[in-house]
Amino acid sequence: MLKKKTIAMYMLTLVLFLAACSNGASNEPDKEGAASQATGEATTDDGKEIELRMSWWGADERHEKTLKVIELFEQKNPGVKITGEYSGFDGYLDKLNTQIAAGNAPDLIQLGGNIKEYVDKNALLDLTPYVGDILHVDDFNGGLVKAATFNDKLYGVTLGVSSTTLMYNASMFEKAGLPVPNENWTYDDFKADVIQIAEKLGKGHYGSYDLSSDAASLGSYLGSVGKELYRDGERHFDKQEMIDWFSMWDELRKAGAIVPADVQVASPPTAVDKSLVVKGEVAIQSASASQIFGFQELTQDQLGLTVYPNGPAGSGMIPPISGQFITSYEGTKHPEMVAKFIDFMVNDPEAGVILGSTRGVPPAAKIRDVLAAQSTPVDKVLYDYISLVSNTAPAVDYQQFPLDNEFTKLLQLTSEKIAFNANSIESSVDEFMTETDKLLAKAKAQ
Amino acid sequence: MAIHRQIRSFFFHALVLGFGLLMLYPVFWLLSASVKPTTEIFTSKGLWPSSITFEHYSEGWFGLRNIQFGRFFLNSLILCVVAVIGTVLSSSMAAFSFARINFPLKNLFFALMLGTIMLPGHVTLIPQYIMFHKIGWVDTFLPLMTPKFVGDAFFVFLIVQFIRGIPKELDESAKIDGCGWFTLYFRIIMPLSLPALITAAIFTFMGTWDDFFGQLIYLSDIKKFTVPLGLRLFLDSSGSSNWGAVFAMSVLSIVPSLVIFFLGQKYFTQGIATTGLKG
Repeated sequence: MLKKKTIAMYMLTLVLFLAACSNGASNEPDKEGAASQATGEATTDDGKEIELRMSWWGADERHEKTLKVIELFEQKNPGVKITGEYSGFDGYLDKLNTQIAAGNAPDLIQLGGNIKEYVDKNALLDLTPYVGDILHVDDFNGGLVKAATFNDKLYGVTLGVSSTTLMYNASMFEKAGLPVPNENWTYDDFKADVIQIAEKLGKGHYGSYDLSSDAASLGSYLGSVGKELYRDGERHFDKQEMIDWFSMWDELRKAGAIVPADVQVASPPTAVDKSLVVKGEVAIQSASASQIFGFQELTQDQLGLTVYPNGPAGSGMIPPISGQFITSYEGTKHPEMVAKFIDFMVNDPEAGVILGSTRGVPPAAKIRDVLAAQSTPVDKVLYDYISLVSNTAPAVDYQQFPLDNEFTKLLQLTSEKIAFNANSIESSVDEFMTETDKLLAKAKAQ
Repeated sequence: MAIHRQIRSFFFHALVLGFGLLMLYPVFWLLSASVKPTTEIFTSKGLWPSSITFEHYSEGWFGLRNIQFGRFFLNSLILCVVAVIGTVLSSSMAAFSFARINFPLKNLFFALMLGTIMLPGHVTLIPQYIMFHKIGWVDTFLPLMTPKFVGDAFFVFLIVQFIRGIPKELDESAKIDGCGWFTLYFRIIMPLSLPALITAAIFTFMGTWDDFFGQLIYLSDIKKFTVPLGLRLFLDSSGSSNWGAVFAMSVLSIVPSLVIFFLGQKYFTQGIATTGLKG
């Protein structure tokens, strides 16, 4: 008797559970049904709703501005609804990878320098068929279009231009009684300034971060002595240039003018919350130009941007490169609308004004002109800088070192070996050259 | 002798207090950063702000477009409450049957269940996502809630350990008085395992409250965002981040966990002590 009652009780709880689950489940098919219905209607071209999803990462300013642009697009294109899926960068790619694996990725995807990885995964839509007709990129610097072109197919459109450069703390220059650097300065000026700042501002203050480990700084130095980091499968520099490079930094290190190795490891310049330039303790660091917004926000000191110093062969500046791309998922159901939105984002003056420099300086020259007329002081620093580089940077077609991550690590390791006195410059450079050649051989073999 | 003991106890307390303050330093730093002007957060060294401002709090709460931070709190709370109910109910039932009922292959099932603890979450992530996507549950709370109703191996184990410590004589006398399995579970064992249940509840609450990745993967619509996702909205590693708002909202997000912990603290320590598990 009792047993029966128990079983009845179990059954009851089980039923309750099932009810709870199925209740939730029954809500969902409705939604799914509605969604597929909507897409069904859109393909019949009778002007009903087209639903798109767009994902990007960023902070609240970017979210707000992007949402405003989406609203504007929706107003101008009735029947189109774009849902934003936005977050910070933490986990953004993990989520995207999961969605791609499940065939559920958003129609519009913001990507950074890793765009190639997704092209290789066949996850991105080839935008070439829409170029010229719906999507206009003829106003862009050719290099920017090339950066998202693989096997003659365009997979993404640049949202913002940036360039690795020197960011300086102008207030520290002022305190040391020095004029801020201009585009004509040389490596001798750089050394003199750095040493003076460290001397005049006293203990705990340095003229510059140790940039010997920075690949972009090295690239521009090599350019300024008439060499090149890389072109067409070969390195275009020799041991002597590397020795000169590391010796210059070693000399500054011994003079106490640049950040010592242990401090640099603890407060790397790349992290805005750790950078000593923000704290007013170091005057110069290398940074991506568009980062100046984030840095300036955290300090009352005046920050500025300048080009890398000139050498005997003039400026070695690297022309502006693309920071972020907007791409489309290969499985999107509305490729034309996607292309139309991409075009709207980069070419529509109204959208351009709303977006401003949230993703770097806009790639289209006509949008830049509109923006320059109404910029804030920080904007102006950035725009002036981008125009300056566009003018001073030699017209080279810059080629990225293959296996870039490994090369960056190698350079960092070599620099740290010297900075921590673990190895002499001579033998460190020997090792560096051998390893670099190994990397090049490895890249060729791929 | 008495004086000697007093001195010793003084030093002991001073040491413990000092160490405690040291551990609390990050929390104080967070509190102080949340009321500092933005330009001072990373530049001033002291904890004491030059001027106190509450603008980060209003900025964080009201500053996001189309949504208030309160919505994230509500979502997190709903998720946590359902998760706690689900976990406690299902895990305690499973634990009761493993601890008190004899059925065929019981040990094998118990071992299998423990085996699932060893399985890294990353392995099941994509299959699980695909499954929930096929059912059409992505971008709802269901993928985060439903699994809680089928038990959690760790809590089953915790409660089993606790139930094993309850004298069997109680069961026998209850049976003699005419008690069935369900009554035994509900009337006798559950009230006695309260500390273990509360431990499971607190762990689940905190785990769900702080979970970032699961919520990130399954939730896309900002209206369904939870507190951890909401906090990340202010952060952009590649550009500008609204640090003040992050810190202010972080301070608020600690509050529910603290309240729950202090409410259940008495049972919590008891639950851990008597099951021989370390938190």
